[in-house]
Amino acid sequence: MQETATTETFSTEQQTVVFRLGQESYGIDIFQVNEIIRMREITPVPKSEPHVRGLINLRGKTIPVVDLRVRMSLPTAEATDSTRIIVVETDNGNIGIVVDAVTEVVSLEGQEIHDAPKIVNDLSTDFVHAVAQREGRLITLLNLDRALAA
Amino acid sequence: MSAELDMSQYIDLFLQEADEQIEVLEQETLKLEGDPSEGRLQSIFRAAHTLKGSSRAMGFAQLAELTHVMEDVLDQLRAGRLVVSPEIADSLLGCQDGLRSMVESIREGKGDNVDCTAQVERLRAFLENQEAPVQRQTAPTQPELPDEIIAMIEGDTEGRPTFSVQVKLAPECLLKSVRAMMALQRLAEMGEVLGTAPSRDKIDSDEFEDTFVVFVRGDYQPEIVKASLTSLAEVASVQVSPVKNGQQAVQNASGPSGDQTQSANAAKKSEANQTVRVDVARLDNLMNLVGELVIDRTRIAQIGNDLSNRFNDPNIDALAETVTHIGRITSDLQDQIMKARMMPIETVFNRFPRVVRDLAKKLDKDIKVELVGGETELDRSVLEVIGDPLLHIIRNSVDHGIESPQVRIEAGKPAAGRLVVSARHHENHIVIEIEDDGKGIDVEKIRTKAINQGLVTAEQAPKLSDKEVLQFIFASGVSTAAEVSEISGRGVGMDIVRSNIQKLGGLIELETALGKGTKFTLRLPLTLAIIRGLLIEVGRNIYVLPLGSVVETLRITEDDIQAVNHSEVIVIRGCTTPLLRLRRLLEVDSDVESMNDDHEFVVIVGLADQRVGLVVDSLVGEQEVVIKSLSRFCGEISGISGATILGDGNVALIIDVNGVVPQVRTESTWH
Repeated sequence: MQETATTETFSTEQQTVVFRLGQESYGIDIFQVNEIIRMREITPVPKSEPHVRGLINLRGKTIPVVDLRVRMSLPTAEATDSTRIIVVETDNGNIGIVVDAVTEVVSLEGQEIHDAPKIVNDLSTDFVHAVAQREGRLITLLNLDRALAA
Repeated sequence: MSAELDMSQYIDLFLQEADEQIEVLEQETLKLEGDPSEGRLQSIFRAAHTLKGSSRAMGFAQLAELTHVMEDVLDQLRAGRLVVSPEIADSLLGCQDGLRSMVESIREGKGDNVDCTAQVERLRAFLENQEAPVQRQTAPTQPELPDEIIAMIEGDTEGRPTFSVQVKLAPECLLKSVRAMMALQRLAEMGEVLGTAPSRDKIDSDEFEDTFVVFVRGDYQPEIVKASLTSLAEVASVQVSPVKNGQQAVQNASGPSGDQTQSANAAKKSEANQTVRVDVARLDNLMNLVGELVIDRTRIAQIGNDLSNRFNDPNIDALAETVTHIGRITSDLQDQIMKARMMPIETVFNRFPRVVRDLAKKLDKDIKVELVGGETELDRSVLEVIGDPLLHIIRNSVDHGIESPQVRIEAGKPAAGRLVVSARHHENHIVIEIEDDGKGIDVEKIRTKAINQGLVTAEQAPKLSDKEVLQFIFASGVSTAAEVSEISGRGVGMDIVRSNIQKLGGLIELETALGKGTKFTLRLPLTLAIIRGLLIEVGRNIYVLPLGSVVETLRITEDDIQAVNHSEVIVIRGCTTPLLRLRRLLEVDSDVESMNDDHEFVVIVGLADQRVGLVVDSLVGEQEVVIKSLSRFCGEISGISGATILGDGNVALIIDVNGVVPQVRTESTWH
């Protein structure tokens, strides 16, 4: 079931926003991305999930921000000049995700995309949709709906 | 001429109008018993008539039928052939219930298939007691009303003028249909003929007395039309009058309603023309946009301040001036939109007389309802939710507040009970009071009940003040009624009433005097969209406390804090108040040092009669904030009711006092 979905979605060329978390590159479908903004003040929300960093003001609207590092079981890091918030559209409204840096937008061909290797015992593989190989680099394509599920 | 009309686009309008007309019917009918004046009958008749017209236009035959019978009865009342009696008023009210359920059924998309034969029969019975000829007298001269015309006129977006042309043929006229055809032809040459009353079929087959009405649209000159038609043979008279909308058309067509009605109707119409119906969602959207504007204004003002501190440039002064001006405009804009969302509380109050009347009848009581301050306006967001809590309190008062007439007379009170529902503005709040002159609440009975329910121990109970005991009324399971009745007394309800009021950020209080009566006082915010907030700092973040719940702020030292049952309390003017450290509630890291060495800031918040002191790091200020809901993604967080955006662009969370206060109890049981 999931494999058919994979081949369907990636059969043609796909514009992907590539960002960095630690040493690794990740990609999300450009159609899910609303905008990319600089890091800004995040107001923490008590009693929320650990990966929820808090709320930001996006032109008069308050939107929640998720720390993808926490979600991907990576150690937390201080924000730097290249830290960005990618605002994505989900069923739960707009959500911001904090990433170390946004590197590029690439156009992935169908043959560059492969099924994700099955690594057991790692919750974060659940969020992986597929992997893409490009010029010797590996880009992990995320399933955002799962990664952001509360 | 039978243009296919898509009725679905009119249904909302129809429902809205139907609601309004039924409301008028009910209000006026309730007053009818006390004051059966002609003006009152006239307005009831008019409401029934309008409803009949529009339901016919929409093709709701049963609805039209019911209003038609009502109209017949009202007509007889108006003519003085029937006299207003409680039975007739009852039957009319019964019909209005029928109308309401039909309208509800239509709203749910099920059409007007509600069985109302009982109501119709009841009304018909009054009519049958009349001599038949008298009753028929007006009917023939009233032509069948072409309701599709109303829809056509209302559907006309170009706003071309519409006229009704009433043509009376000479009584000796033999070929009426031919004369009518000629008149119609002349009219068609001058513009567009919309339709006729009676219908074309009936005119063609001579099925009309001697008068018919033609509805035309276009650039007609009344004088020319009149001259042109009267020049035709066997035309006795011609009347041309402009039609503003469907209602007017109906009034004109029904002819013998008299000048007075027409002018009254015209006055009412011109008033109505000055208003526009706006979708609520659009108003809400507008409100949101203004909210953002307010935020940006504060932000620009702050940037301006920063700049003027750093640079010395005349342009910056000009900027400051402009910002001030924008500030004024946005405040005005905000005010105006807030006002647009405001509705008089009447819309809620008006339901009460009927409810009380029905209940009192059922309980064999005599109760007079007085509504005071119905014109007091409040935001529709509040209006939508206060109806049920108020109704519940009123039912309670009627059911076991006010005594039966015999008991009242024995107690030396007037036989009729008095129930006063009043509303007024007080500062930024609306205060609603519901006062009865009934038997009051027996505090000792509540005390016993509270012990029985295990809400308080037998040892503690005698120590509680009367005021504290009365709070148990709002606890689940406590009822003052000795017996459970159909109406109330199961002890559920008052707790829901209180929680609903608190959810709105309001307070409910209660005063009672045994044998004299009970008074409930509700204090509610005027709107839910914007609140005045007290900005406080906890950890490194700013939070907002709704000012409506803030009682006072204090600066205390460590010595003021005492321990009772392992929880912290302070004593304010003899009152022991539990303390809650917001740092703990908001999960502030303990490594964030507080700047306060030897003192603490405490904000006393009130929830009904409960007082709790919240310990905060510092008090920042007071500000109007626009409430934004938390994202669905965050879910519901206890203690936080929403978020807002401050002048510096940062998000601040709004603390939900109702969610915080119960935690005091939980917390004290932890230790």
